[in-house]
Amino acid sequence: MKNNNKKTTVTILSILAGIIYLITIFPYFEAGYEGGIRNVKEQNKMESDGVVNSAKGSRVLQRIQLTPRNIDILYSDSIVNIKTGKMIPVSYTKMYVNDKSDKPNLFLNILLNIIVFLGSLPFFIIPIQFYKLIISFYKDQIFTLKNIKRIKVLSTLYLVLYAVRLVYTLTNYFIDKSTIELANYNIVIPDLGHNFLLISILLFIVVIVMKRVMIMKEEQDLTI
Amino acid sequence: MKVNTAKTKLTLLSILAILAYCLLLLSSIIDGWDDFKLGFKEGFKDTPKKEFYFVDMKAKQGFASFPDSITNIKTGDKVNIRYDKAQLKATIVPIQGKSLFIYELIESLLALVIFFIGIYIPVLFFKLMSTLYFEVVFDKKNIRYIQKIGILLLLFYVVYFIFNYISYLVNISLFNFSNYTIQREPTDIVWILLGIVVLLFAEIVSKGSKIQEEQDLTI
Repeated sequence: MKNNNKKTTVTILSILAGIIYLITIFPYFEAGYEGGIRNVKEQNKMESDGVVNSAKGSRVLQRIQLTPRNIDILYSDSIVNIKTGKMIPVSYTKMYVNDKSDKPNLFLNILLNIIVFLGSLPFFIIPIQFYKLIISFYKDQIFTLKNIKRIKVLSTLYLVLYAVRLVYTLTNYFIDKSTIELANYNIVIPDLGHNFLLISILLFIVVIVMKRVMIMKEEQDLTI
Repeated sequence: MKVNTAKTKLTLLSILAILAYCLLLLSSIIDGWDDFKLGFKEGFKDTPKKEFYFVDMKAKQGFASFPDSITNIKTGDKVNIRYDKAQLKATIVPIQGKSLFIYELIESLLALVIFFIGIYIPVLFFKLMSTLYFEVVFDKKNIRYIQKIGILLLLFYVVYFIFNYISYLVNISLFNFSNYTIQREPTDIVWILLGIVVLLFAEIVSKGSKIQEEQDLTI
């Protein structure tokens, strides 16, 4: 009876994980698709208007993270609050910059594109591996060599994602630092995605735990 | 020999996991350090006391528009920009027919819960990693630690979601800008996924623990 309950728990959790994972990844694809289409349209419009020239290799849009340059002047900007009609002191922490810089840095741009391409591969492989794993959990086939391999692949992919994100973020940061300087703000390094590293290591631990259970189960089966 | 290698691997990985977690915590602390200093400094200033509001902004004309501009000192050029996140300092102006007190009370209580979860998860995580470091894997205590972490992650999402929603309600009742709309800070749904995956892992360890018990009884 208790064993049956365990089976049900694993089944329910597997279904939930599958649904939530779908909800988690859907916005990325939706935003990526919409963003990509709209970006291309917008860039074409801006190029035809002569606002930017992408042929020169300039990066059109980047999101930068800011921190006040001087701790004594924390709220260096202001914005009108329509509700009260008053100006409110404001300190911006993130902004999108439409960089029209015509200083081409072809090498860095190519490097960034390669990084983006490499980084997008795990995004396609991870869901496939994840769903294969969840389906086999759902079928109550937990301690199998295939599953261990799948988790190993997931763990390695997360490590790759971490490395790619680290290089991408730092490269972008250094480009931003070399091309943009603001009077009241310093550009700071954004989130480097250390959570990917943690997930990768934890998955490696899961692999070891599952391997041990599998060995124990094999020994048990042989004894019986 | 093979078992020994696995033991070394587990020990090494538990140390690495602790280091990665510390890195994660450290980067969060560095990220929030300026806000902390700011709050501390403002707290000691004379009256009138002002409140801080963290606002997520979205350009009214969509994400292809840049309603503001800023001077790039490097080139001397004006560059088009769109603000994304801001920190506002304002005195609370009473709004007719609306009392923000309840919102702010709930917000404070939720902040306390988030703080508690933020402290308790690392404690449980370090406890779990230390038992793994000592090669104790299929232990009832470990299963409880993992289950607690899973439930706390789920709770974290729910509480954080409500917290963000209340902050959003407060922000829209206090502010309105000509070029930007105020939006709710998105709560990362990955916390739910992590919570469920962690609970799934607890089930795996629990099954492993049963198999080990049976094996011990057989011997």
